[in-house]
Amino acid sequence: MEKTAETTKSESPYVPGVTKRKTVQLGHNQLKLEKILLICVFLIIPLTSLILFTYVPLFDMVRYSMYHYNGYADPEPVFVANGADKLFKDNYYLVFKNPEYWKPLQVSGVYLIGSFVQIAIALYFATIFYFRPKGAGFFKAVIFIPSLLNGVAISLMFLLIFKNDSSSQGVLNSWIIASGGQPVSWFNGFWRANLVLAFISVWRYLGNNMVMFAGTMESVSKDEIEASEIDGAGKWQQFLHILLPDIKDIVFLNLILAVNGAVQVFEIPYVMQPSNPYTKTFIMKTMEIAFNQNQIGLAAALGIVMLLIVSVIALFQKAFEKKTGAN
Amino acid sequence: MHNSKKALALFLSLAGMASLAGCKKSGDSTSAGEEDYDTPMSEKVTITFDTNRTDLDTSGKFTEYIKSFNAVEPNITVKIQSYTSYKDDEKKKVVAKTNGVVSMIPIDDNDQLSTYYDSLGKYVDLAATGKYRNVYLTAKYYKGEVYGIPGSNTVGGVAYNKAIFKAAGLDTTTMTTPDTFIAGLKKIKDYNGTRTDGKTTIPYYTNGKDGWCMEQFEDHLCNDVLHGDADYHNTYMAGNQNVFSKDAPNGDAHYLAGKMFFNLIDQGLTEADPTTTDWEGSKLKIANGTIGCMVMGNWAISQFQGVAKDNNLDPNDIGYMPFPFTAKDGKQYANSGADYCYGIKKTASDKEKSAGKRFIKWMVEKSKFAVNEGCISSWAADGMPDNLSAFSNCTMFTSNPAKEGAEKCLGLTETLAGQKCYDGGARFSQIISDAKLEGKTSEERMAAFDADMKKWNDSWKAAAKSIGEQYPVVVKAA
Repeated sequence: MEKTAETTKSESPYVPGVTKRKTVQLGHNQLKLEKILLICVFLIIPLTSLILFTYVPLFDMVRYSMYHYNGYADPEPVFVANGADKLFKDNYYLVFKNPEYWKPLQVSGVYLIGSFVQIAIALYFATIFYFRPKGAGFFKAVIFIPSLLNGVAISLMFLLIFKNDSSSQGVLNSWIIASGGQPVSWFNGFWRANLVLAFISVWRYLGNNMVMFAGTMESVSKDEIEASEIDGAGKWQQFLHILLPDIKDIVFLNLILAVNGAVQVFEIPYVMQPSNPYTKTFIMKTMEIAFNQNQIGLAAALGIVMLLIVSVIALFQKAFEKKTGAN
Repeated sequence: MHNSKKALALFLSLAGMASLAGCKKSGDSTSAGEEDYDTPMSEKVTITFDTNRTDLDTSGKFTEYIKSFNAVEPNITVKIQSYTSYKDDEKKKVVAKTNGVVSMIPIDDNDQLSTYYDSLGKYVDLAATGKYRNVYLTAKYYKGEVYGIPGSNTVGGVAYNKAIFKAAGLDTTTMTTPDTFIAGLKKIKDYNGTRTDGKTTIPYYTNGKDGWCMEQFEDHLCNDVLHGDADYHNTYMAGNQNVFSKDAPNGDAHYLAGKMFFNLIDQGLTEADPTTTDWEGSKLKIANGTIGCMVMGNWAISQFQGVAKDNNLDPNDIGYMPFPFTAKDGKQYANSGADYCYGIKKTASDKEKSAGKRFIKWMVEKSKFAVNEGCISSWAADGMPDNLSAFSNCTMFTSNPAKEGAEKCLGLTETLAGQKCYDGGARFSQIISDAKLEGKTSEERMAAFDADMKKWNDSWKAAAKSIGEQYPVVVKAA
């Protein structure tokens, strides 16, 4: 092969005479096209699912909230005035006027208190695990496994513990009777019932928070800890001044998730206490209105209101992220 | 070769189609009402049957019924689908048109029936045959057409354990008013104190966790057992401004029954925690005397007796008495009504509809399904159940369908008031929590109960007033 000044040209696999730049561009475009095609193909399934199972129902729900609809008749639009329909007010007006629909948020408040306790306990355990005690693996598993269990199974299990039935007494009441006390109805009364249910929620999701905190804590360098030990700092001070500031963001994220979770709590109270008026959460109330009272439109309006509440919370989170991101 | 083969194939298929066309004429009902039900169907059809009786499905009882059905109609295959939360699930299926060809109708509003179900005949025609207990044909009746025939019909009352009642010295014929009923149950509490076998009986079991159990109580109230007014439920309740009122001129069932329910809980005659009850467990408990009595329809009696037999207990210990209300005229009324009704899906094919109708006919006329369940059959030739022996002094009545023009009214009043008469037991749950308020005196709890009743009455009153003005037919002349 002759070594000429046009070596680069002859080395290219393309037709000689076409400049290298053009061929590179052609190759680039082809690659880009393939890339885009690949991305599209992979996105089709998740996008279709998202549109079909999230956006279409959401759109339908907004539509239903504009109607009086009992689930199987033809929906009657709220804004058409004819005969008895003139008597009906618009669904959103009913939602905001009736304090009954806002009582469930008080119930969520109790779960929120439970969440604060949950995060505190999770931080406590995460800190302990940071210092690598013996048997850490076993205890981590014990704390985390409840979050893997099926919600209905958990509810039935705790029903057996907390029930008050003289013919086949619950576990907790059996202990109380055995130690000479009187059995307690654990689900009687606003605070008692909701604290019990919030406790079960805490028991279930503690592991989730703990694992998240422990994972983030791992990235805190041991040097500072060792330095502070030399300076004579106790474990609490180490936590407060070294570990906590570094995981502040994750803790705040979990607080916001806790607020979200408290507003949307449903599974455990629904299985354990479906008839108890003290423990009706927002979603339980919405379901009651939709399926017991056959007012799908009103329930849809409630659902949209819940969506707005959750969106506001999400906005808070976004704003916070931006702030810390800027830092 | 190819061409002749093709021609042969074409000829044979044409001949085949011609013969099939001949077949099509017999056994297929394309013209409504001209079908000959006595000759079994000649074509093979498969139909689906939706039912709420999951217990009969899993125990194989339905398979037995279908086997007997197939002895008469060998070409019809019936597939069963049963669900536990039947009403909710089936309602959705009906709207989506994915329900079975034959289904137990889940829809309460009769004006919606014609959209989803085929008419099974005109009321006047079916009633004229004299073969049905006509009063039950009105269950799914709308504008002259009958859209569903009840699989079984029930009477409301109170199920009780005869042995316990006897041991406590109770005579059910005297327990005919709320006061005497409560006094009687108090005697069971006293009896508990004298027992030597270490057991206690819960005098009344509310089954408070399951909303539908508490709706069994509501059956007596919405159907006005206090006055025996057959037009109350579907016509006058919509325009009644005193439904929950303490001071209703003639006394109102809802307040009086609610007060009785409240007193039962307040005076310690029920289970300790009504929010964690267990329906399935309660069947065994009433059979073995751990429970004294429960308000249930008579359909439950055969279930209790079945559990008794399975556990070597005496099924005759299960007794049934009328609801403890006596009207001002001294009569006791008992409300009888249809349980779920068989319906034919409107959008099924003609062949499927014919098969479905044959199945429904057989189930109603020949299967003795209602009799086996201890209920009243829609077929007049079937006898009345044994468990109604105590009802001989009661006047049984069935609520009439809505009067002309009033069909939509109850639904309208319910929507306007924001509460349904059958509300999944929500009102009763509220009464339970009022009665169980801790740290309060009995009067304070009673005050909470009265406040709740007043709240319900006010919202219903406003709604009934508006609807009454729009539709004067629902306002009862004083």
